[in-house]
Amino acid sequence: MQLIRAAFRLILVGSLAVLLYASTLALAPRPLPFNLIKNLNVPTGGHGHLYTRMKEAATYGKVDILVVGSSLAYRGFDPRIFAAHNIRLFNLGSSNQTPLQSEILLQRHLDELDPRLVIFALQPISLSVDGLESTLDLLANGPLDKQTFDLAMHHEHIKTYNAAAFAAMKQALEGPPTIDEPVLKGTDTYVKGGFVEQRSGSNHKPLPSPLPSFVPRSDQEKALERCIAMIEVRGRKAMIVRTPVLTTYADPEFDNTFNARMKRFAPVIDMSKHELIQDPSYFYDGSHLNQQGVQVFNTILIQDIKMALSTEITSPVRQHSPTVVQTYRTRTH
Amino acid sequence: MLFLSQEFLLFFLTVFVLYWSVFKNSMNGQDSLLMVSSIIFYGWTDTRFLILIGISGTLNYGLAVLIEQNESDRLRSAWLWTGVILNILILGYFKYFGFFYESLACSLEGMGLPLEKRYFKIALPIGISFFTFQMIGYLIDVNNGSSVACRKPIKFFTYVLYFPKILAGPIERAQNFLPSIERVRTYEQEMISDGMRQFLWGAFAKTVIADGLSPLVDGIHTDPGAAPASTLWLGACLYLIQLYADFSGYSNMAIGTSKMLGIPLSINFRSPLFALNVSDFWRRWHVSLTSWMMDYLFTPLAFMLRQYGRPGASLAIMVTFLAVGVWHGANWTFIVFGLIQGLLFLPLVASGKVNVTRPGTGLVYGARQIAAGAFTFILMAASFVWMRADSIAVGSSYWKGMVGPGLWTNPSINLFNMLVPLLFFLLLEWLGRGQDHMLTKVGSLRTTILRWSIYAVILVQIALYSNTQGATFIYFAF
Amino acid sequence: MEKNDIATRIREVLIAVVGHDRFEMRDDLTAPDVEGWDSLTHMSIITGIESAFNVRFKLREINKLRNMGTLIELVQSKLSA
Repeated sequence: MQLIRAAFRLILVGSLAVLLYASTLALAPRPLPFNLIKNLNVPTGGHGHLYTRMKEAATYGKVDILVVGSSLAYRGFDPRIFAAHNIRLFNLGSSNQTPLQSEILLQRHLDELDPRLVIFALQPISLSVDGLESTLDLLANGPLDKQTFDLAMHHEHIKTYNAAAFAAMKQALEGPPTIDEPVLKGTDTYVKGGFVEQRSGSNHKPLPSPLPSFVPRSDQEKALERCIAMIEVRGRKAMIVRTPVLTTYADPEFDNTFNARMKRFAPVIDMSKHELIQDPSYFYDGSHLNQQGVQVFNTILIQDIKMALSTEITSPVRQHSPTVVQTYRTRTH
Repeated sequence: MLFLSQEFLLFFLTVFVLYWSVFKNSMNGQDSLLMVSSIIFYGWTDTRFLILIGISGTLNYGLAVLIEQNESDRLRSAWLWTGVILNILILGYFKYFGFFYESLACSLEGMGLPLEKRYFKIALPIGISFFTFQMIGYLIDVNNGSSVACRKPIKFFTYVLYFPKILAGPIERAQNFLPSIERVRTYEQEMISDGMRQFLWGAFAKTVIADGLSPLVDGIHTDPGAAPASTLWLGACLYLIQLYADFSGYSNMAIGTSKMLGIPLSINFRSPLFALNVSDFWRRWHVSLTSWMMDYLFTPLAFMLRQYGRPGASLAIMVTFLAVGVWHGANWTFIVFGLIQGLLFLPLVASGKVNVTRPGTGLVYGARQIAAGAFTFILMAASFVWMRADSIAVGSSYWKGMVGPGLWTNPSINLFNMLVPLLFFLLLEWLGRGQDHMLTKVGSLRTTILRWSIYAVILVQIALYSNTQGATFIYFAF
Repeated sequence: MEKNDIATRIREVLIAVVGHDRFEMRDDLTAPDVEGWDSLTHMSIITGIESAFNVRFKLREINKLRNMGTLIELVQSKLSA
């Protein structure tokens, strides 16, 4: 009897806490700024222009190539260079994005963009982290749907719980977030087609050391598998591209096993140690190319993709008439 | 099993309900439940060491009985010393052997005698330092006659293994602990509630304050040479708060858990952050260890050296603090830490101002108290750098930096997102000083809604500020 | 020796060690009641009493002391032994 009464009181205290929790969330980000609440740092329009990118993806129309992945994606594949080769590309990368988050973005935009080919821009590290930051990015730039909510729960992390609760509350009260995101942020410029151009030149920050282990997580591999199934069921192709890095991210032995492992999912193009893209002046840090590097990398990659696709698929990449590309190109400038 | 884990929640809920329902009217049943659940709790982390604890426990059980049975002082001392040495040997083997071997190898190498430097890695049984000290204290108490030898195996092994305290204390004295499991435990709502309050405060201190400050402090300690003096001083202060929140948080969770089973444990921290001098600090910090050292090491030593006056007392102090240092682990930094603490004590011995309980009132008196408190806090923060430093090199580079340039620059530590819980923590620590624990006063508030609101505020802060470990992610450079 | 005489001598030792006489000799007097009587001066006080009465204590006897009354009894038993 006493135990039951005690349990009842605990439930009352718990409800009071939930009430207080909800009212605290309601006060953010004004008048309570996000950076005063450590576990609720989800400003709409944060790093990486995801808000603008998702908005543009909804109206962009059909493309030849769609790129997903982390900053290696949205900083590494420039639609303007691809357009010069008559290829229409959209970049759906976002900060720290891993297959778990790519899956959600593909579910939302795959049919609208209807690409012939989807490129997963990966490094071994992409599969050995959970991409929590990227989930927060998705929650902050909304909308909150069932998939995003499930992913937030999947992380089993207080930050994604808070962000999901916050997003749910704001969405119920005010609808999905709407902002005017500036094209220019610091040294970042958003380029139509999802690309972000970095103007800071060369700035070789040291990589974190010691480097973490690159053992792929099983939930990431499963997510990658689901993504590829989603693409193949629509009769489209998937490809994994390892982007160039300046520093060796792992021991060569592991590099090779990683490639072998990835080949089970999709064809792999490994550009991580391409001899033409090893000049440090092409990089602004250990793993990110500057615009000059992007130019070289994309030009080489386009040839490689064309070669790979002509031998592996029967139907060629969707061709556009030069006029269409012309219109597109004027639009991006 | 960690207190803040899903397994423990389930484990403790089961024990709690069984304890207060099925076994409510059977002391034997309750005792057996405690022993079995303690075995499960400890074995959850490591089954191998259960055997070690079983053997060591049986030995100590027998030795205590032998000591008590013998009439002759000589035989009693003989058994006592056998026990003390055995316990120290076990501890020494698991905790210090690798350290001695490596130090020996290094010094021999220095003399041109290379010794094969195999990296010794003997797995450290969790809680072995706490457990060993408890056993040694028990044997001495039985020898002194301040405790009787426990002759009921179930009660004895509950004393040894009792799950709230097995991993990190408090180090329980037999004369405190055994009587509380000798008597009938009845369900008293007030004690249970108080246990939950204490647990809540411990959980808040641990997850929000300690775990939140930890990455900031770690950041400085990876390369203290690179930081300006201001950062290093602030970092040292934050580390003292972190360590306090961590350890007192753990102790509060342990004591709170035990209270929920109707068994009070000894107090472990008495608001050391507000101590007025070094000796005051050590009377408030990790009390179950310092009082152990006081009773079983310092007093006998000081007694032996009593005809030498203050030099004798000073020597006893130095030895005691060296032992405190070494107790923390096998590393030279802990030895330096112990030496520094001993040295900080000596001026007090020389001036005869070990006690600070000088009552007074008025503004000047108050200002003096505040100054003394602030000075002591900063002094302890600076010396606790050695508790955190990974090596002598890091520690000395840290200290060098503290007297280096940049004392008046803006510290490069971003505390803004921790500001709310940190101020809340310090405020409640201040309001709750001198109490059994920080929420004792809150528990005695008359207005139910006010009381509950404070609990709710703490819970919400845990949600909004706690640091969840294990989810470390590498930042791509965006 | 009379209990009162013992108390008077102990008082002298105490004054010599802690440096003041702001305390009252009672049977239930304990160390915290006397300013300056702490864990460190404790041993000086014990040594002082030992030499004042020309006796030797054992550690176990010291450990059992609870207050001034038990201390006086201890000295008395040592003297009569």
